[in-house]
Amino acid sequence: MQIQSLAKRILPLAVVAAAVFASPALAQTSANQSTTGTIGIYQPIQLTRQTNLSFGTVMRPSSGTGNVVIDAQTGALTATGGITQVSNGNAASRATFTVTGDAGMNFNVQYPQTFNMTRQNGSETIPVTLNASVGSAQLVGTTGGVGTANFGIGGQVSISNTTLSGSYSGTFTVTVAYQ
Amino acid sequence: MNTARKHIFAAFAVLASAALAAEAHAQAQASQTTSSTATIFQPIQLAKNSDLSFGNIVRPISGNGTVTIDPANGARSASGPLAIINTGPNATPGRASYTVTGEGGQNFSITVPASFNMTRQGSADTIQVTLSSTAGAGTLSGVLGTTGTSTFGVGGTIPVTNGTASGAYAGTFVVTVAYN
Repeated sequence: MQIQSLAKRILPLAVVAAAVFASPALAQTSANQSTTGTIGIYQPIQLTRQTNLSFGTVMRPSSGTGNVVIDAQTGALTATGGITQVSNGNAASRATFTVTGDAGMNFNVQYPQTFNMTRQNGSETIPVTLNASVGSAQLVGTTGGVGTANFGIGGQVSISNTTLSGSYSGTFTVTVAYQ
Repeated sequence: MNTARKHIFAAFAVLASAALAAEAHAQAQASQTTSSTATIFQPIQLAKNSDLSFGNIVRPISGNGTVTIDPANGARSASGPLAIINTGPNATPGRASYTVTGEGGQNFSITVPASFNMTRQGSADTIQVTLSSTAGAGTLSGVLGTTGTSTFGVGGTIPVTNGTASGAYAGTFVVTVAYN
């Protein structure tokens, strides 16, 4: 009997307690909001030059003007207008580059439209018109890992019968950037 | 509402003590005019207008830096040799912003955790975000009896090093406002 009556007494108390705990939920003196924070972090993009651009060794035309073209895709040399490649001269090649960065990211290739090569021990210049195998590309690799891509840069020079013979060289800068 | 309950309890207590005082003096009759007041506030509510986003960045090749989102205007800034980029998914940076609604003219406190962790998707790597708020307290517009509003923002700062793993990081934190 005593236990039962105690239980009866405790029961109403429990109801009161429940009512007190429930009331703050109804009476809102504070309010909160869950907020999300996010960031995407990418690996640095890096550019490595594998080979330089070389127009090899050519003989200027005996008359008029010709062109020497290095294909950006293959590196093949094409000479026109009476220019001939000297077979035992310097090898011709395109400039080639490897890009590494975050797999799946796209990047673009920036390079000057033209640059000058200057004759060694002289001041004469030959303008080079550049072109790239790609304007932009995607880094290939496992998602979340390192991705790679390769591209090439070729160019074109005009050489006339008055172009001074000699060794010409110059530099240009290639930049890749995530896009 | 809690305030209202307190006032009502207080009023009853005053009535009870007044009755006891009357008996003690054994007067034939006595009366007291007793006032009872209750101030009732509408519930305070917090709406989130935007989440906190640091956008996308490229970690440094070497060394370390920080990325900060201004709590006042959401502007992103970086220090050190890391690069901010505006490409990729969720590239738009921004502060977390909130609107508080409640009883006009009332003061409220803003509670923002000092920091929280963002976790890299698919891993246990974390970046700790140090949070900053435009204010620790505010006052709702208008006057008692009308609905007032107030806004505030939360920004933050994270460190990024050349060793920070690349990936998408996300985490949550809770912001609380309360009448005070």
